[in-house]
Amino acid sequence: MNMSSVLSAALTHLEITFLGVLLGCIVGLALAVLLVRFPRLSKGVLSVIDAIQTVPTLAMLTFVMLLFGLNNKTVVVSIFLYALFPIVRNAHVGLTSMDPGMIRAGRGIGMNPVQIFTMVRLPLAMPMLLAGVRLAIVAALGIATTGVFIGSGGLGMLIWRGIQTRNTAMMLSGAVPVTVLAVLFEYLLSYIEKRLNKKYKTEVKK
Amino acid sequence: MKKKLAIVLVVLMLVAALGGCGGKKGGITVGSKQFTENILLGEIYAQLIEAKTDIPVTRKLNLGGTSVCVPSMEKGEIDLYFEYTGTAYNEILDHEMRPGTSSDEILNICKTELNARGFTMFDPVGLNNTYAIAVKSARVNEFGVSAISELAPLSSGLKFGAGHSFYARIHDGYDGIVSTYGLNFKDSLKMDTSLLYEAVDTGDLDVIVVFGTDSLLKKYDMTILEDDRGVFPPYHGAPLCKNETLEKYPELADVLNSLADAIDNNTIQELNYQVDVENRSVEDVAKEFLTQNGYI
Repeated sequence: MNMSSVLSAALTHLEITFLGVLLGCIVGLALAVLLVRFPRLSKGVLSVIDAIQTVPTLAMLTFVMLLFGLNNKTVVVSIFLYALFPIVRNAHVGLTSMDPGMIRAGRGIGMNPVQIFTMVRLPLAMPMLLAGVRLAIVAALGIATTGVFIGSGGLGMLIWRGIQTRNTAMMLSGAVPVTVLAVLFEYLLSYIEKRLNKKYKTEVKK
Repeated sequence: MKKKLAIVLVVLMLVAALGGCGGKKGGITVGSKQFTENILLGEIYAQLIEAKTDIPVTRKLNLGGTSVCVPSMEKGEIDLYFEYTGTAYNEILDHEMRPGTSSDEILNICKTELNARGFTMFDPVGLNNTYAIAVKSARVNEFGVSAISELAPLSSGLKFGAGHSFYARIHDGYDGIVSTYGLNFKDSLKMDTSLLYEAVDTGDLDVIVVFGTDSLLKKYDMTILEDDRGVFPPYHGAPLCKNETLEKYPELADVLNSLADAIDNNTIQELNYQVDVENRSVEDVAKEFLTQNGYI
């Protein structure tokens, strides 16, 4: 165990986390838009996403492994599935909970539905959406540590081997970076969220 | 324009990450469960195969237990791993473990029924990773016992400790040993297994329940008392390999058989000790074992 192996494990960890959450963002946002457009679907889709969330991590990994094999892909797909819950839920609330007056105002000044979506709904939903992404990333950093049990890379290997062999230094060399990354992203994304909140509020006021 | 480029990049990244490397590589993949002993044995077989055959070996060590290893093997993600007869009998084949079933009987049932599932269980290597009753070696003479049955008359003056799960087992846990051996301890404590050794070391406990291959038995100089009435089920370890793999690489069978009866509890305790207590790497310990004993 040395600095470079910790660093490369941390990079793999980040890669797995980001790819999973990125997939979650793309599919999640598309789903949320679909649900806004077809509200009748929302109950069914949201309960499926809720159900996914209740699957224990190792069971999820084992199940996804049957499709994707013992490698990083399985963890990426599992993170994607878990990320749907915060992203779709938040995006859906964000996209639907704004003041209906805003949308009427948009229509009033002659915006077409696409413009209303991209220039009114989406910017107003942005802070809520980002909050969902933030939750997904922080959770994903944790899920990625469990990936070691289906043969993926990342910091989980250091943590679990450390625990198994009662090697505290090795355990911490994995656990500390995970914690630091989680706190870092939590702060960074909260900050962006706040900035966006301010920006769009002033823009709307103009 | 920039936005479009970013989107294209993101899509490319995802395609590369998820779509890449479709075809399966040749060779075999050795798996293992997520504890030192099993990882070590996986590494030992991996090195042995590399030394004795030309088959390329991939390692997928540290997988999450039998519940991950068996589906992985069924799917062809791994070709072999090291399994225990008791676990195979109980978890893979779903038989209820009853006291008094002989270890040969269990091994034969495992071999036959696993074969029907497409797996071959080889002959056990000798170690038996089951529950065991242990006392400090220094106190064995004081007690004058070598088997659990001899402990009964002394038990009213002794303090006993075991992990929580030991008390929850029906036939082969606390109730099992107490009724079979007529034990009546002064005190019976439940605690995390990692604390048991320290408690017995400081004298807070006299008798503890351990696993027979535990490296800490060596660290704390413990002696195992013989289970002379056969309460504990056998957990003899043996390589478990996919039949398809053995058909594809017929030379593999001899290699996997070559460690039969070669690793007893003392040997594996010592190997576990080198990894767990002396913090040596699994690769080094495996290599040293194989070379010192003339296997490679």
